[in-house]
Amino acid sequence: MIRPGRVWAWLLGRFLAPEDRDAMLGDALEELQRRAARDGVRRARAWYRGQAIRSLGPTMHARFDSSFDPPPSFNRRGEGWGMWRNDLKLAARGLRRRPGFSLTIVATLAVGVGFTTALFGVYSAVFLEPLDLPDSEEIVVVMGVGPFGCCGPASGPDYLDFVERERSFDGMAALNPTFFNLTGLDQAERVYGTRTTGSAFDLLEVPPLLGRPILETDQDGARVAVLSHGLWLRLFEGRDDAIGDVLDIDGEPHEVVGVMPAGFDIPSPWGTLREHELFTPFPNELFERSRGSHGYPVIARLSDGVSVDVAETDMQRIARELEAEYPETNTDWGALVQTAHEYRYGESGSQFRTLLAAAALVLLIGCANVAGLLLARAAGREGELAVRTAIGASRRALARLLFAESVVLSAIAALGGVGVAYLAVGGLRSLLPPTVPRVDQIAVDGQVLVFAVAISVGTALLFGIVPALFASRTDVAARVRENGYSTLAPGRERLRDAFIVLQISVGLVLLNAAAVLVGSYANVRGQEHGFSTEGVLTMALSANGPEYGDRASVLRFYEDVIAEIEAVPGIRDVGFVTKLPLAGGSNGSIQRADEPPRTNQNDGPLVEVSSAHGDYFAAMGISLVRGRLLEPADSTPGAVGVLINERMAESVWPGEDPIGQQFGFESEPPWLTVVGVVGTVRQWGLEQEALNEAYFPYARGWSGSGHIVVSTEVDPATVSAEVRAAVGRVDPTQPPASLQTMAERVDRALAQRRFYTALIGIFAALALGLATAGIYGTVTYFVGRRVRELGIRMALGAGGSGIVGLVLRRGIRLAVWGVGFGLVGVVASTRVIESLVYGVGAAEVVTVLVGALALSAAAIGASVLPAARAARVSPVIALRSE
Amino acid sequence: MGEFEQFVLLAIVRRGNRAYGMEIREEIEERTGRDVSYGAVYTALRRLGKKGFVTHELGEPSQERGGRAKKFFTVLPEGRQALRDTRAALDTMWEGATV
Repeated sequence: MIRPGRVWAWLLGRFLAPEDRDAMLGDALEELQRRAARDGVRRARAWYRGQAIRSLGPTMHARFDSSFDPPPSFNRRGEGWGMWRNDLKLAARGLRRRPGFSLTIVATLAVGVGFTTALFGVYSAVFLEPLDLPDSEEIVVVMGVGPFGCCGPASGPDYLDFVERERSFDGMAALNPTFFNLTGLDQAERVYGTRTTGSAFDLLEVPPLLGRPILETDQDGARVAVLSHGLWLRLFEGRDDAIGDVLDIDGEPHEVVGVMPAGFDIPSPWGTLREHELFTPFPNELFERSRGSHGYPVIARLSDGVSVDVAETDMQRIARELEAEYPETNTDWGALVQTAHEYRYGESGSQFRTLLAAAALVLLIGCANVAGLLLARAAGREGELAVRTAIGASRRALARLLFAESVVLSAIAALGGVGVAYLAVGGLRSLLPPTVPRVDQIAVDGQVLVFAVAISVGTALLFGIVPALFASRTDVAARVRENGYSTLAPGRERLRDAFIVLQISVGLVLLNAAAVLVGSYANVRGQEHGFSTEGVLTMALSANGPEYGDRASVLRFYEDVIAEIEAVPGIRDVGFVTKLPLAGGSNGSIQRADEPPRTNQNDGPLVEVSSAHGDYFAAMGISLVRGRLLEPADSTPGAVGVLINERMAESVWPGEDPIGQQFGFESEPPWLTVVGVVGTVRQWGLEQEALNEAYFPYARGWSGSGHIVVSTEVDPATVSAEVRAAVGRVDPTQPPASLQTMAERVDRALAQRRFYTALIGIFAALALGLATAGIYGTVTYFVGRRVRELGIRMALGAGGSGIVGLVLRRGIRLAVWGVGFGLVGVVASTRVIESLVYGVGAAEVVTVLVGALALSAAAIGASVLPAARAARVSPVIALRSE
Repeated sequence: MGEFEQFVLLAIVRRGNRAYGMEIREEIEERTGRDVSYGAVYTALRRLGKKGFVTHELGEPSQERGGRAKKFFTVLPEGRQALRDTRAALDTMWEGATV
């Protein structure tokens, strides 16, 4: 038998008169079976859900109608909305009379709603918005998954094979993102852009604003360029005659053939936080490079009806074919296909969802807090409610009146929440780490407002409906007999206890999350990264153009720059390196000279490669552990000397002296000789394990652009202008870029984690404060109301300690339940926060214990203090207390 | 009597003056093309019962219905009269009116 979801069945029958419920549920179940047989299970279940939702209206209305049947003396002011309007008015008036109570509730909720809304605003702008391209959900990135994990770009020959063999795409494009030097302007400029195959513009389906895009025919060596909208405005002030003008790019004249519209960018899986400002043709000669050299990110557009999974299977098939055909380069290379959106925002999106969940938990604590307050207030109003019942108000009518109060409160809180959200979004925008994309698009817009209203309504239901239903269950006779004296009905006491248990347990979950993140942050921040951050200035520099056609001229340029900078006063050491620490790198597998030749190029330990020159190690504060630093003789062809880091020495030559050992990236001589061992630095980021690394002399190593590193005796900021000028004196057409101290780079690497940690910390503090205040307030109030009962007990002979013990036991029981559920929550939440954890467990035992103690103390202390007071009071006074 | 209540009464009559909830819902859906909710049908039936227009009896529980019994409804003579009255009133109002 096909069963409907339990929730839907419950909902369907919820408001129907009990004597009809069975028959109706039977009818609906019978029809579900027939529909499942006819239309399939999914559609049948969808029909059932629709029935459940659409039945709510008539059945709820009927319930109000049939039970709200007051005698004529009770002023029945109208049906439906009319009744509601009166109740709302009444509620508003009542709340105005108790401004302190109302303000507390509104402020609590507004903070909860506001924070949750603001975070949703950020989340929606940054992670939910699709890419700004036509049918952008069809745009995917195709990455290689190598023997060392995900994700690498493609090699030129592999790309050509992909294009020829794929059956899933309406177009593929290869990119080669890079920095270009723009010269011939007033001041030379370094801009980020990409070389691209002509197919990129076809598959993205965005026509240029002016001129034409890059074409496939341009790939034969045409010197043409397409500008982004921003670069066009900056260089040509938006003039149409830019087309046909000539720009000097890397020292070569290029004709401007097109300008793209505002907001356009090619979604490269590399450098995702940078905007490409300049597009030039991808030269066909790059396709002829080695199949083992992976350097080109690939994007594609899915054909109609092809899913990402199907495309990935297709690419895996090609990868297997290539593996069989080219085992020396392609063994263990697979493929990964992901939508460009997922690739860019997936990971940070999931981290952000954790924050959103944390905000929602704060809101939940706020709701429990408010529900406790409302319940307490309802208990204090029992006399009034009893009188209302006595003169003919039904339970429904009372529930409606009480619920109306939460509606009014949540409406005001929603307004307040939107206000808080506006402020918080402003704050978040400036606080967000620079690694978060699309920050400029964050705003409180229509979608976000809808969200705010939705969670406010949800909140009203959550904190309003349960206390309203319980409080309206008033025993008139008992209340009137007691003349307003009251003890709590058992059901309501259980409800109050549930709110307290909820606050303790949710508070604990948040507290644990905050503790774990703070611990992780301290770990990341405090760990050894292997380089110095004080007084180290770095800048990107490349030598492009016809006059730098060979490595000797490039090296001469860097040497001149180093010498020029060394002459600046206040400078200590100057060096050059191709890859800065924390900035990622390039790597390859090595062959030890004393081991049998490998059959596959990918066998052997993976080693990061950099080239260094000048006093790089001194400038960066990387220590020499053994042997010596690089000398000019190490550049001798056939006898190249290299430095390796400690980690490589330990992992490749464990227990041996690495100095004098030989290895190579090819499987045959000439070998490289280890001349020294230097300290290990974290190449791929503060949170990535340090890897094996080898440093070549620049003259023999991997060439290309890199970074000048300068250590200073003075504040680096005071010499940066002079350093820049020194570079200009050597060659004004090679502008330095990204002038940053290493301290700034480390700070930037920490920014995202700091942001998440700070936010969760704020939430945990809010949660702890709200929960403690809420628990204390509610418990004190209710124990206070038991003073009369306690007086009777004392009059009957109970001792003061017995009274305190009675109340204390209850407080302890609550604390134990709360902590118990909280621990379950902590365990359940570890899976969610695991992705944010670094170097600590996903649960912090000590913090959880301290938090458990604090919250328990609030619950127990709140019980004991009034009880102790009651125990000291004479029974006579206690009996008179109400 | 509201339009929907008339639909429900007529649906029962059309099914041989003995029909349970699912049949009534089906009959209305088939003839009017409206996908009506069970909530609406049972609410109307309850009102009609209070007015004394319909009565009901329980059938046997069946497994297909999760062990729940059917509730068969029958239109009472008062219900039939009310239907006729409503129709007559409507006919009177329609007479000579051009819409």
